[in-house]
Formats: sequence, structure tokens, C-alpha cells
Amino acid sequence: MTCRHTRLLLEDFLDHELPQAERDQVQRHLESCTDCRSEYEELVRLKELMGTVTAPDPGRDYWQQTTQVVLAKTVDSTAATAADRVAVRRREAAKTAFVRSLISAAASLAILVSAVMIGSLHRSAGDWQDPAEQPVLLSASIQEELDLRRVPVFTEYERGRLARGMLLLGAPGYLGKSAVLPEYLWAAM
Amino acid sequence: MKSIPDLVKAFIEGDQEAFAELVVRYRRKVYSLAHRILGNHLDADEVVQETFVRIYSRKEDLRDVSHFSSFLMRVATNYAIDILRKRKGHSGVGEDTSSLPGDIQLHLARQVATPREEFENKQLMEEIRRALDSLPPKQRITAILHDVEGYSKAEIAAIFECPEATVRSNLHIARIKLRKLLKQRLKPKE
Repeated sequence: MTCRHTRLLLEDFLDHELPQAERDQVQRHLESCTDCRSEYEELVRLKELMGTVTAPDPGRDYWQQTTQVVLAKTVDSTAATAADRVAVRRREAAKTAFVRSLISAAASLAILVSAVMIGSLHRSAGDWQDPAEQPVLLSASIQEELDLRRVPVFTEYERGRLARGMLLLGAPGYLGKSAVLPEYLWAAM
Repeated sequence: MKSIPDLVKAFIEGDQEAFAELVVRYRRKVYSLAHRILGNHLDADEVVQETFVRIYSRKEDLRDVSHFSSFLMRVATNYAIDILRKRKGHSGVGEDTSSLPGDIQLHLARQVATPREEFENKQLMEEIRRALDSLPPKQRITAILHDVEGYSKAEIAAIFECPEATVRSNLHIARIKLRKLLKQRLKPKE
């Protein structure tokens, strides 16, 4: 084997990647050729030198921390994303339910207030033993008629009731009557 | 203890515990390679984290469970190359360990036998690191994968997804350059 041929195969020889037959040929040449042997030994030293390029061991704490960081960015992130979506849906549902309950409460309150108002009116009515004693509300049309006709048609008793300030629309006996209400109110007072 | 192929198969099917186990099994290898390529802890740490994040998000690219190791190393080396390119002339030589977390500094310090050894090792390491840094990324990584990490040319070809002849050529050129740069260190001891 020539020097030129040997040098072409030297690296494969160094890396143990030559078929046995060629390997034997290179080995024999190196034993007899100083220059090629010198070349080969330099390659060996280079490989040994490269082997000294070590990576330090940062320690068990580092491995644990790094693993946790990696898992936080991957596995936990995926789980967190899914959990976040569930949490967002739950919050939205709770918000909707809260708004609905507010609306319901407001509606209930409105009904309650109305009922109380109506009830208080009825209760006011019930305060008088004699229904005839209940105060009445005058509608605007009756007020107008009273003003126009200016005829005192209320009895003394009725004037007293009017003086209490309230006339219920549609109270029996009062519809159609006309009077100058403000005057009688003052007169009754 | 599950085998690597079983873990990889489970990981591809969505088993997150299998992925966690793969991280534990391969983290040192990735760190070691990254540190040898980049020369410092912080960059190596970044490569470790980013490599596994990318692996996790790209598990659909894993065509064959037997290719997981080369796939992992490919992702790691590609990211290391990205860092080298960003660095552009800023060498990782002479890592300033004072910037590292205290517990890591302490651990690294404990690995050096004597101050004299520390000094000699440091000088040698800097010289080798400078020589490696002068190589283009692919030649540098090929030399490290082959002569430091012990990968065969076929394995390196799988990592780089290139023909074996390309690996052979890169390694040959890298060795020629390194021999020139480290000539003094390669002289026979008298």
C-alpha cells in the first residue's frame, strides 16, 4: 500500500470503520512508514484532545429545576390551557346566572313594591270601618268636570272626605258628580 | 422501567408521563452536547429547554419510534446552530461562572481537583474552544458529535439528514483545521 493510499484511509482506520482486510494493510504500512505513522499519531492525539472537551455536571438541583421548567412549558401548559378554558366557561356561566338572578330579583322587587303599594292602598281603604269613610281619588276628567260645572254637589260628609285629600276613581256614588273641588276642599278644612 | 421505544410510542399517543420520563432520560445528553458546542452553561440550558419544548410540540413529526434519538439531537443541534449564528463572532470561550446561580457555581467548583489543574485545564479548554469556534457550525458540530460524543458517521448523517459522504467530508476538513490550530498541543511529548 502506498503512502498516498494509506493517508486517504487513515481517518477511517482511526475511527475503526475500515473492513478488516484494508485495516490490516494500513496497519502493516504504518509499522514500516515513519511519516505515515507520525501523521496517524497526530490524529490520535487530536481525538484524545477533543475527548477533553467535557461538559460539566451542573448538579441534581439543576436537573430537577430544568425538568420542572420544561414540564411547566409543555405538559403543564397544555393542562393549564385546558383548565383555563373550563374556568372561563364556568365564570361566563356564573356571570350569566348572576345577571339572570339580578333581573329576576329586580322583577320580583318591582312586583313586590307594586303589591305593597296596592296593598297599602287597600289597607288604607281597610282602615275605615265604613267603606263610605274611605278617601277617594278624583280622576283628571272628573276634576275637569267639577271645574267646569262649578256646582257644589258634594254633601257635607263628602266634603269631609274630599278634605282628606284622596278620592278613589270609580268609588260608588261619586262618578258623575261635579263640584269645584279645590273650593270645597278649602271649605272643608 | 419502560424502554425508550415504548416511552416514545406512548408519548406519540399523548401520554404526558411518558414525555416527562423522556425528558429525564435525555436531558443530560442534550445538555452535554449543547455545552460542548456552545461552551457555556446558560446557552446549554436554553438549548435543553427549547429542545424539549419543540419535541413536545412536534411529536407528529416523529415518523418512527426508533428515530427518536436522532430526531432529538437534530432539534438540539439545529437550535445550537441558531444560537451560534446569533452570536456571530462572540465566542463562548471562558465562561464567567460568577453569573451562574450559586448552587451551580458551587457544584462546578467542586469538580476541579487543584488550582493548578484548574488553571491548566482552563487554558487547554480555552485553546480547544477557540479552535472549535473558528470552524463553521456544521463542521464544528460534526467534529464534536463524532470525536467527543462518539456518534458514528451514519448516526450524524441521520441527525443532519444528509448523506454520509457529507459528514465524512465535514469531519475531514474540521480535523485538518483543528490540527493546524492546535499544532503545539499535538506535538509528541518528549
